Amino acid sequence: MSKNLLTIEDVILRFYTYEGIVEALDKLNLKIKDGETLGVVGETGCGKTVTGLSTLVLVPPPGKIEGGHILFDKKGKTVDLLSQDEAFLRDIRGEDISMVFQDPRSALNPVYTVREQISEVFLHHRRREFIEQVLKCPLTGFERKIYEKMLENPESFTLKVISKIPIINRYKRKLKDEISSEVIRVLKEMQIPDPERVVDMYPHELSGGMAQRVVIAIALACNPKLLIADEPTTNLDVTIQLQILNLIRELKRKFGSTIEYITHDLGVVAEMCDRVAVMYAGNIVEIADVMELFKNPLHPYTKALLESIPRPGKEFKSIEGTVPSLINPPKGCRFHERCPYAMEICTKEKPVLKEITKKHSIQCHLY
Amino acid sequence: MSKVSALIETEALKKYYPITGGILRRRVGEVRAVDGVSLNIPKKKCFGLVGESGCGKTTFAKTMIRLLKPNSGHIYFDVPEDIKEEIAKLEQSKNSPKLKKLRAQYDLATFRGKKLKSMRRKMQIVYQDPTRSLNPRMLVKDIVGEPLIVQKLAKGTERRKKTLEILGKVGLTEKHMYRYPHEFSGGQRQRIAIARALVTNPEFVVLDEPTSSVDVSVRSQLLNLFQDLRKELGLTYLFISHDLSIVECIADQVAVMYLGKIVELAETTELYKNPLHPYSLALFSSIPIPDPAVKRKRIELKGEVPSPVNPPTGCRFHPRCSEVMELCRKEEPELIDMGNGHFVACHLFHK
Repeated sequence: MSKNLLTIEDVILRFYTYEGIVEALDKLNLKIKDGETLGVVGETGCGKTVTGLSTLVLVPPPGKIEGGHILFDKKGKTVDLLSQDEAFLRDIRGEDISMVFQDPRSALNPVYTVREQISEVFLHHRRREFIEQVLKCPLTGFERKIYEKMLENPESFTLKVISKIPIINRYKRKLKDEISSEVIRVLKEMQIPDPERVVDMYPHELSGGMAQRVVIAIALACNPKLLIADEPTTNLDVTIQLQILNLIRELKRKFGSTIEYITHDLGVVAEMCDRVAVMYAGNIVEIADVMELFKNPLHPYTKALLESIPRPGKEFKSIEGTVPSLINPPKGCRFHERCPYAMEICTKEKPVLKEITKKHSIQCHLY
Repeated sequence: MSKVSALIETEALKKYYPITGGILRRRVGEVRAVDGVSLNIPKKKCFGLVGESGCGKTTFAKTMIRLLKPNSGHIYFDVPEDIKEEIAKLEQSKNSPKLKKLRAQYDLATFRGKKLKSMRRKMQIVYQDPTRSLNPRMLVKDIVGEPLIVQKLAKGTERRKKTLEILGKVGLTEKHMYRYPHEFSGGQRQRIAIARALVTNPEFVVLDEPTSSVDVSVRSQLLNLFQDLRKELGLTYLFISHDLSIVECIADQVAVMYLGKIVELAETTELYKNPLHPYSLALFSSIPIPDPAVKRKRIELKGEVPSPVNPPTGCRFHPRCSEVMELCRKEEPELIDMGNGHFVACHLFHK
């Protein structure tokens, strides 16, 4: 396939909590190719979500990224996101990389309407474009002056003062109207019925499926290259889940974006993804093509995970023990305490991610 | 319905929640959460109840074990067959004093006070989220032992003995007794909730999505525990879930619910192999299969579940149904027997 869009290299993420240092990501390596859908699976607390958040450099305190590189391919140029300043990152977020969060209700701000929340993305990333469009419309002399000024020097003091004065700041409406029509177009793309009515709703008026569509609309408003979908269908019913999955698939086909799909549902992975990365306790233990992984899982953890899917007529199999605490993670391979094939070396030395075949990489001493 | 002796039976059970409005808080409408459900749960079986969120699964279960008072309908818990027959016979002649007497004696829907409390010993519930269903300020020994005090079953050392015994059954030990719920992992917390439900030695346990808040590996541990406990203690389960693949593995019989009504009911293998109702078809086809090699046609349902405040006239599924007919808009279909213990409520199958 084609080149790598995103390369995560040896990223170490630690959370400094009162109980101790949580080693959430332990030298994580991950490559996402241009145009693919990569699934990231694992149990709760294995570091799936923080992988997504580190990609956007959005790790909340007390978390700190300590070392490693996140290389993103921005229009042919490779940039290391970890060494960029906040202003640059803000331009990247939403424009090049965006994220759909797990719980749409907590991802949306309850005191703003859908229109305002989607407009925000446009106002940040495509402000110039919209101002130019407004200038093409019939305007009064005063309005034209102001909009031209906004193009020349958006940070000017006079503009700031004028925008605070009531009645005079009515000129803002022209820009709002312009953006509104774009917002409605985006909502239509998300297959929301009656978008003219939905734009003026508050998040509490939306059902779970609708709210998730709005969150996806915010994420896809600027056609990002990379979409990180963090369990977008976990809280939804199966019928609504199918609608959302079909929508994501269709949007991917339309815009050709790359998707990093974080989930714990192996069924969804089988349906959506081209490649799958299995995570365990802050490490990627296995990456393979989806067919390969389901047919020929190699890592003991992946095997156990696949066996724990309930199938009728069979006994339920489970993985012995519990996920280890990441405050004092086991030495060596982090899975060795629960692994049926654990050897002497597993307790001492951490295995590295090795490429076995072109489609299959694994982190285990067995191979 | 079927001839197997039922442990618990409901007859046209209805639960409406009032919507109040105005200064006087007058009733301006009602949410028809459960609208005439007749079910029959056989002894020592696991009965699955599936449906989308908001279709009334939990309300139905809670009404069934009388945590809620039904608006109308009857519930018979462990009533001998001949008495049920007698009630059915008397129902034809209205206002018979004997019927009233029998109802007061056997119909759970009419029970109050002490009588109801004594029945609660036999019916228990395990909730979805153990973080919220366990009191964070109580020790595990008090949480699990409390039903024994409430039901006046055991005191002092005997209570301790019983608590320990039941904790052993769910896979916890003595050292866990003096801890608080927050010190446990999700799976262990759910085990505490199960122990609390089982400590009074119930016959019927409602499992309300007990595995939806835990991980896949823990989920299978819990499912195994449910299976073992059922065999060991001779329990009857009502297993509520929206995860259809789990229900397929654990339940003997499954009912599909849509907007407060049962639309289809059959043995598990029969239902999963041969779903008849268009809603069940769509529901089953939308389960993601964890096998990338399987490709199949999937039915995508348009729109969402309508509001139960103003349910659609006729068949409640008709606005989303792909096979909708003129009749569906006007007339509500009844549950009809398709043979083999398979019941379906759809006009397509009425002759």
